[in-house]
Amino acid sequence: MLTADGLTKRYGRFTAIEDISFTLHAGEVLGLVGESGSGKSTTVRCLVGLTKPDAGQVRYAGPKFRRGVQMVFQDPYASLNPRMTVAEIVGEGLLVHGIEKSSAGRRSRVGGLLEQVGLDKSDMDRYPRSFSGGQRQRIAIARAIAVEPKVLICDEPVSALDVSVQAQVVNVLRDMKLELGLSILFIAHDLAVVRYLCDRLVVLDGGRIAETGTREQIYANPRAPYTKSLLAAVPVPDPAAERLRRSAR
Amino acid sequence: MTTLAVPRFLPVFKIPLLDRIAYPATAVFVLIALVGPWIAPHDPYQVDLNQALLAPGAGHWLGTDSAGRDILSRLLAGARTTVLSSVVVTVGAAVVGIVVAAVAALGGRVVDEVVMRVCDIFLSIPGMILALGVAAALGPSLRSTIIALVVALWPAFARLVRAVLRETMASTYVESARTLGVPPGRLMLRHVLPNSLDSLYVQAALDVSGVIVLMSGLSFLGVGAQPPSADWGAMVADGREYVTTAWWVATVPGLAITLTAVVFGLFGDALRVRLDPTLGD
Repeated sequence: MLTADGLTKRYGRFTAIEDISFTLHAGEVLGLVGESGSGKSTTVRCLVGLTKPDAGQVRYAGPKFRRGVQMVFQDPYASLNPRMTVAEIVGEGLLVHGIEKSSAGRRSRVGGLLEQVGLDKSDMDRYPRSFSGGQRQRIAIARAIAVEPKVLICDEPVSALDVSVQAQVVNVLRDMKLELGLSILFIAHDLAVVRYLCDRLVVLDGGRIAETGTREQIYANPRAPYTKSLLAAVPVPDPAAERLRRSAR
Repeated sequence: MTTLAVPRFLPVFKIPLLDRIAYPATAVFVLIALVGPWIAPHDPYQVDLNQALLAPGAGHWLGTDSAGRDILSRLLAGARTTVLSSVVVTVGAAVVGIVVAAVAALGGRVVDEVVMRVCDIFLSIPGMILALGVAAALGPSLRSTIIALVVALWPAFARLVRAVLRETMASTYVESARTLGVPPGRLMLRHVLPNSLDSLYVQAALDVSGVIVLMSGLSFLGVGAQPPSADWGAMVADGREYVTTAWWVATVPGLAITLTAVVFGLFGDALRVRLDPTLGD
């Protein structure tokens, strides 16, 4: 669905990403993992066109890239216009892409979208400030899926949220994938979430791809040394297994 | 940042007190500007040489000028020209500045550079000199003063607004609107401008006080409102010859200019304290 082909971006003498190539296939969830500074954000910004890469290109297998590729940002406190109501925020894509021209029609579509992400229809006339982080991220997801995209890019969509609501938002994303047949590019540094959600992984290290593989391959048998250390840092929620793992190291 | 040396009044004043003084005082001045001509006790244009240069007293509370006209009545009649045209100038300069800044912000690097260098050229000429030149070239009148001051003041607004717009353009909600596919015009009108204008309101309110002084200055120099129309700056100019013998003729309108400038300055400060999140309480 979406292909990165040799993406490279330099800021002055600093190389943020170099020769990043991967493909997001239809219907899959692809995890893009790596620690801070590994180039995840730059890759995403190049993919959605917020940053122009110095070399390489992005290919989208479908018409209307702007409608077909949508994004959920990391910080739900910053990604919603504070001066627009939820109805305006979620309905804007319907308006600008000419999907639903009448305002009454948009309101009813927005109501349905809000319920789809687990919010209430009556929330649509409130402003973002009256919602919690988890609710705001649901609004952002509703905004993204409103235009019926084929690809959803989620840039660390739960890392700014309380642990208690992270799982809820991840489940909303998984439900959306199942219901709408979305392809999802999921950027994260939390490997537990990635393991739960992703079919395939691309591991970034220092602006380059360190390893690519299916979830099973990478979790069972990480090849790159960087992936091994990344996996070793994930706590295992079982004291016995954790002790075993530590002694094995 | 402006061509006017706009004074920042009482920067450390406590908020409630500032609010209590600034908002009502501004309301009173705007009201006077609106209804002034109708509450004047005498005809502001009635010449009576027998009554010339009377000191403030029972018949004429603020005295009379060299032509025997009642100064209080002329002040009230002139309030409209002075205060309202200052507001018009500020709004005009702000609108031109916003439009130019929006074009610069949306237009890409080349457009931005060109627009900002044009601003630099305007800003390199002192505002008063530029306004004086433009007003003189257009022929002395109130209208040319207004046009001249808009010409002199828009670059400062354009600079300020451009800086704020660029900051807002980089915010995540604007980026998310872009990834949603919102076209540039709508992006500017719905996402960028509404979240950028707070600092502009403050600048505009503060600038009104500077504009009042500038307008009066231009009238004083003879390129503003023409005699016999009652204009505060022109009134000061009229009274110049009598400063030693009839002090009130120049002093009273001078005080009115000062007081109005201070009130609008306080209003701007009160707005700033309210709207600027970096000046938290």
